[in-house]
Amino acid sequence: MTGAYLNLNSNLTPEQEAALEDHRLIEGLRAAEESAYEELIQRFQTPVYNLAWRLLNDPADASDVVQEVFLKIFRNVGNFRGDSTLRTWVYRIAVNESHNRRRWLFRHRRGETGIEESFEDSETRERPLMDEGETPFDFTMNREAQILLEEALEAINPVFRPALVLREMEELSYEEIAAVLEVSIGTVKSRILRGREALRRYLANRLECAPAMQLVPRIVK
Amino acid sequence: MRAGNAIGTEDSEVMEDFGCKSVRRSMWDYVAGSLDEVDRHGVGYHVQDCRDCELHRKEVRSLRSGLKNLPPVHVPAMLNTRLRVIASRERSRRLVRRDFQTWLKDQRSRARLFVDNLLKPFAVPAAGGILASFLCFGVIVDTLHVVPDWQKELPAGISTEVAFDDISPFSCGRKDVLVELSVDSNGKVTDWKLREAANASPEELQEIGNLVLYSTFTPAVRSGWPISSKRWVFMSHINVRG
Repeated sequence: MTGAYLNLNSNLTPEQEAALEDHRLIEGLRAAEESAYEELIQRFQTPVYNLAWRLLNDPADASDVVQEVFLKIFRNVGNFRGDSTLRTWVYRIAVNESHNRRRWLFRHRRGETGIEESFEDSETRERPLMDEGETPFDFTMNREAQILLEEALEAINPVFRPALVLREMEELSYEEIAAVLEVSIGTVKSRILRGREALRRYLANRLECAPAMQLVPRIVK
Repeated sequence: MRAGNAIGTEDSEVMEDFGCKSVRRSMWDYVAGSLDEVDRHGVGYHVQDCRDCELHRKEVRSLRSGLKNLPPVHVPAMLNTRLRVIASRERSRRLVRRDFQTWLKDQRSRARLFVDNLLKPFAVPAAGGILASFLCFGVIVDTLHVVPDWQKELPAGISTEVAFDDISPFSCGRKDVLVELSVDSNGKVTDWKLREAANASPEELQEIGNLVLYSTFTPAVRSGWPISSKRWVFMSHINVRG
């Protein structure tokens, strides 16, 4: 019986296999299986936290959003109709919760200043070592580039940012992003385009303001 | 800016659609490899010949790779724990709502927990109070002297008749007297009757009355309890010489 099941699975395309996996996970959640809850957390906690972190730029807010997202998933999994993929559904909840959070922060915490920012920054991010062979120079350069990119991401319009993050970092298709953001594909493309341009312009301005050292070849007499 | 000087005629016709502006619009998708065949070739040919667009391509490629290589933010351990707690709570909530029996069982256990939590704050003070009272009683018990009145206790099986305790100090003029006494449960004479009343004078009757009324008696006992009863008493006159 198991062999037949495996053979049947082997004929499926990767998309179909992913859909089957999603379906199995959803059914597990509906049946309150412990392993399904564990699997959902394992699969989505990091992407959702990263997405919320990129959209809010605050680890504490991102943590709150992630908890809200998972609470909504657990409570509403019975209502999930399967019109979109599980990933799209989860990301949609995450983006909506991040928007709500940002609105709430705009209303309530405009004048607040955190004192733990530097501590959180150093504690929660991954150590920026790309590989073991990296020299201190490369390390510093990479680190500076990362900081610059993160500043640029933070600086671009919050309307464009979710589309850009979902496309460039989470690697979602235009259709998936449209489903997540609940807008048309044309709007998604426009937002991504404008987000990329804003990102590029911000970086160009920053680099122009602080020109790097240049080596100019000259003929030695 | 036009491109396609180094390519064939057909290709150059195609390339007319790929101006710098449209190429730059498609540059991110070109770098990502998500353009279709025709667009990919068109952009590729254009980039080969246009230095500005080639620089733009490098810029986009560098930016894209920078974005992709941004280090993932680690999920804090505390958040992971909180997520598991939420999952556990929601799972048990879902399990409880599955059928009525489980729901009822859950409500019962909740009620038991509520009562436990309510009584626990009282349990320690109450136990302490009981122990303290035992301690205090143990300290003062030696000072208590209660003497139980065992004398009045009679075995339940014993039955006795009315008996004299003490005779009246008043004497009687007659020599011998036979009197029927009615004695109540307290040992008091409630009535008396002389057997030969017709032969007695009023003074004698008064003397006999004083004799009987001022004497004390122990009441009769039946099954351990004092009761009212009657008894014939013969009082003889004794002369003591000397």
